[in-house]
Amino acid sequence: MAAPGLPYRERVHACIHPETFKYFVERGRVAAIWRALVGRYGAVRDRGAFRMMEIDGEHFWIRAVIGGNPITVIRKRSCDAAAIDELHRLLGYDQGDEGR
Amino acid sequence: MHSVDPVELRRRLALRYNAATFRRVIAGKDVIIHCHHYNSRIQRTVESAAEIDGHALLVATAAEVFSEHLRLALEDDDDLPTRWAMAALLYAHLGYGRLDLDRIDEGEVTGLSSHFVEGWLSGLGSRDRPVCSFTEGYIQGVVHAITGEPVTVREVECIATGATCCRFVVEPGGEATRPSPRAPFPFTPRPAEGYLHSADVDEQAIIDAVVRMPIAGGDDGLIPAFSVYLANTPADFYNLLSIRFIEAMAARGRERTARRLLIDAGEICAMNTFRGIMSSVEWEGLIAPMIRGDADKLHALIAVSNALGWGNWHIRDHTPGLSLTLESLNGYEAIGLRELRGAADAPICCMLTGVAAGLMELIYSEGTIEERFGTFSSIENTCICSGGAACQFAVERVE
Repeated sequence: MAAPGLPYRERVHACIHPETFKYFVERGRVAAIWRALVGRYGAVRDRGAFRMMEIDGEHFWIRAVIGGNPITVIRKRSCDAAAIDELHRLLGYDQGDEGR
Repeated sequence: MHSVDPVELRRRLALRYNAATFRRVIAGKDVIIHCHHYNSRIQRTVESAAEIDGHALLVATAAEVFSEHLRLALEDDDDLPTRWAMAALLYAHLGYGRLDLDRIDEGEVTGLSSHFVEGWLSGLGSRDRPVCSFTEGYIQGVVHAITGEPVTVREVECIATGATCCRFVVEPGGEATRPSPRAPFPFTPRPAEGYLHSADVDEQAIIDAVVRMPIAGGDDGLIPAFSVYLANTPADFYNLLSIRFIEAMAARGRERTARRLLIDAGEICAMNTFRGIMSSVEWEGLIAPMIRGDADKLHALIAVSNALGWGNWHIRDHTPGLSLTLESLNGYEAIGLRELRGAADAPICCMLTGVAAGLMELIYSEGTIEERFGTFSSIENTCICSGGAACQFAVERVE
């Protein structure tokens, strides 16, 4: 059962891609979500000095501070609606009437 | 002659960071880290100015600077394949993208990714003609460095206009590149003493973290960090481009306009770049926990910029929300222009003048970038290039 209001996302300004968002997910699901992300998009790299973890996937960079929440998703130009739909399924995010 | 393995080539491009001067050196050249916002905007400023051929100016400047830079990265007994490999690697390592030079003998080069394409599309919108002027110059420069022959390079297809890759045609002829004469300027920066610091912001920790970051192109030759695309560009490129732009505009009676345009580019760049940095995961992980108030953001951003190779600048005075005085002890604009053109009769640091205003607008103004633009004014009161002991920038809120 998802916590009320979660997951939700906030737009990140002035980024590589105008459709960049931070996804805030339920605390109890963070570890499972990252396992799913690693299984789908590849290993996590650790950027030690900044306490940052990152997956460099085919269609996006997935980043978070150590702990894993919120999750910042920076889209690459190759990213399309299908890639976003798949990511949202892994995050458990329902964008409803929002644009992709 | 000998062929060199990629590991050896990368070793030659290892960053050498001078903690005393905050200078970043790659293969013998001081490099400055700017992001796609600034690089694309500077290109648009120079190329869109009426009455001058800004495109030719940008291409010639890139050709000159990278002909010299590649020579510095090569060794005398490198064979030809090694030289071409280094030309492609230098381009990728600095963050400009990935070039395929395998068909250079047939007069064709392919760009598989491009800092300038990504920068233009994400920062300035769609484009109906090729955008990689910088890369045209880069290729001209490295061909001249390797073969000794002048060539002219034209981009005939560009990812920015919908092509799957950028395609460059290389034709014999054109102007040979020659390094600009320069006179060494023996300058000893004064000690960084008496400046304001925040008790909460560990500036050295920020600088150390940024310096330890691997700011070099990955497989695609791009550097996506701090929520922006970064690139390591020789200070010579920015300085020569600014000088030539101002001189070309001055010849048409528009020197003040040229300087204003370059200051504006720095001002808008600062807001975009630093907003990207402040919304990045890197900021969230290391810097955000140090921030107690708006002034702390200013101190942290100055520390980040000091690690980017811009020089060594500090806050002399600050009234939150109202005014700021910054001093740069060895800025690349002042030192570079002094070496290239001698002493100036007035301050010349356009980029830092604009950035100083942009920092205050980002932190203390509200609204969109366009709404914040112009809400603070910045003046360079003294400049190393015109005889000052430091470059000093005074920023005030516009009433």
